Amino acid sequence: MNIVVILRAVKDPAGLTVNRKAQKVFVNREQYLFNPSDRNALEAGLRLGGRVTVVALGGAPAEQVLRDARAMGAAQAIRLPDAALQRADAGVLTAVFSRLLDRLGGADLVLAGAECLDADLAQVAPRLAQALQRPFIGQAHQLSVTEGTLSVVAAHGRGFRRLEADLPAVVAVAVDSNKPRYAPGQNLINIFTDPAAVETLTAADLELGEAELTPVVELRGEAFPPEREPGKRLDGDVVGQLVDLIRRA
Amino acid sequence: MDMDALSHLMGEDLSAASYADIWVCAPDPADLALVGEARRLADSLGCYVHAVLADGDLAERAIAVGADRVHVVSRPGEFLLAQHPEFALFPVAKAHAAARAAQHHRAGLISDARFLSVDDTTRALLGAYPVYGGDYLVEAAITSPAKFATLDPRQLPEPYADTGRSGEVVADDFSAPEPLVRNAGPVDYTPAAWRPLQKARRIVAVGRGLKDAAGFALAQQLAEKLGAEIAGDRSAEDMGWIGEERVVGLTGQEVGPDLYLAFGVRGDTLHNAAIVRAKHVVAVHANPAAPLLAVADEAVAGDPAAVLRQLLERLG
Repeated sequence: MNIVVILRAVKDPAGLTVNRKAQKVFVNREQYLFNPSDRNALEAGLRLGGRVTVVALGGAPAEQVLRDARAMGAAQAIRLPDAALQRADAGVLTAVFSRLLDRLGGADLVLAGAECLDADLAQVAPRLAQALQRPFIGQAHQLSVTEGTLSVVAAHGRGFRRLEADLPAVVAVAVDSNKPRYAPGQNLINIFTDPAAVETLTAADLELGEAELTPVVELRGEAFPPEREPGKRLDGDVVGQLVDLIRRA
Repeated sequence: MDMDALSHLMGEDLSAASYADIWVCAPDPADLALVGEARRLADSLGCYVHAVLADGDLAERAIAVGADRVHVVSRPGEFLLAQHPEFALFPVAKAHAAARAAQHHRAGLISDARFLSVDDTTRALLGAYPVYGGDYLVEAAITSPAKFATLDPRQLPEPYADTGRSGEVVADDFSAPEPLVRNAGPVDYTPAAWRPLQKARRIVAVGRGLKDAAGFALAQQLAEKLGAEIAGDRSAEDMGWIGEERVVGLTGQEVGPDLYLAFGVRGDTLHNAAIVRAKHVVAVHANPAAPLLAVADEAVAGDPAAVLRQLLERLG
């Protein structure tokens, strides 16, 4: 079974200071994280026991994430370094990944994290399913495959339900669904000293045209939710007031 | 001639001109708040609001809060694939259906959008979406012919209902295709890295100020009555009342419920920073100088166990 896992490097919030008074986000240290739920997606893929290929867009942070993934057990890693793709929106990413899957000869299962910390890109997985006309399952836990049928436990309301679909399929893996493994130290050393551990491909290699690479979502800056207003002390019939509050909320 | 019939004659026309009106996917009664939001946008644009419902009983109310046309279909998300919305609003609970429909229409999509507006000259959809679990928002503009957003109905004001409004319930000839995913029913399951507080809408938090197991038992009763998750600060874990997965704090869980009721929680910096996303914070603590009382929306300086006991009696 061929599994492709889409990974992302996200800006580490520990390196950011959000200053609501100045209406600004200050970057103290430019540092990146393996997007947390993408790590769960990779773990889910590795546990299924197929051949896992990991893909990511970007420069050095993406390279780092892909090498981590290789050390965890992924068989192949592909990085798309194009500067033009830095501005890619979810629609452009969908076109890129859909073309990349063609080039890889398709995949039985595409996995991604169900959440994306620093951008509105959790929508890429369901978009990809639509573009490929494949079934999509989100917020997935406990993936298993028997005879070409995928079975998943998916969050539904306050509980869970079991969903099934025929492969090939696209699945977004929930952040609390598993405990991602640590890469063995020797693997890390081997992968990080191997110059060919990560392959690179460009948008030109994927024969993507101008139209497909033009984003329709333009980012215009940051906004800040209103400050919390100072509260009030209750006195008198406090219990009565609390009952009203609870009934209203 | 009817625009829809015209575009039908011309086949699948994806040109900008054929995309019209604001369409709202509203399968749940709470989603009617989105229809109110659509009305607000439509009034400044001069276009129609279509509400796509799963439940015909909501049609009247959908018209009262702003729908001009109501469509009642079995799968609203699938139905929107077959329409040509210039703007489409989905509830966040239907984020996947929204993403699939957006992809189908080559539309940009803002997830969990705030501050929606439309640029008068370009008709771009402007909004902001939260990042890092709501630390701050990123402003975005969508320029595609079809423009989509998902909205959290709980973030929206109660829509103004005018029972005198008129609207039309359209009979659609629509049969949804067979879904690609099969539902095999509910399962009893606990995730490996369980985080029970993450999706909780109501949280009852406890702290050392409750003094003893009897006080904690009262808080548990309240949580059960309200359908709330029980949580606490570090001191509650030290007392053995709660496990690590229910500790609220920057070193534990950061939470954002609609209602956070804290009893006997003193509220240090680590705790208070982890509840900034909570919509409504109520704190009861015996010490009037407890830091949480200063940041709570409603604060009560009094014995938390006594307040809990009376609260349980009044709630019946």
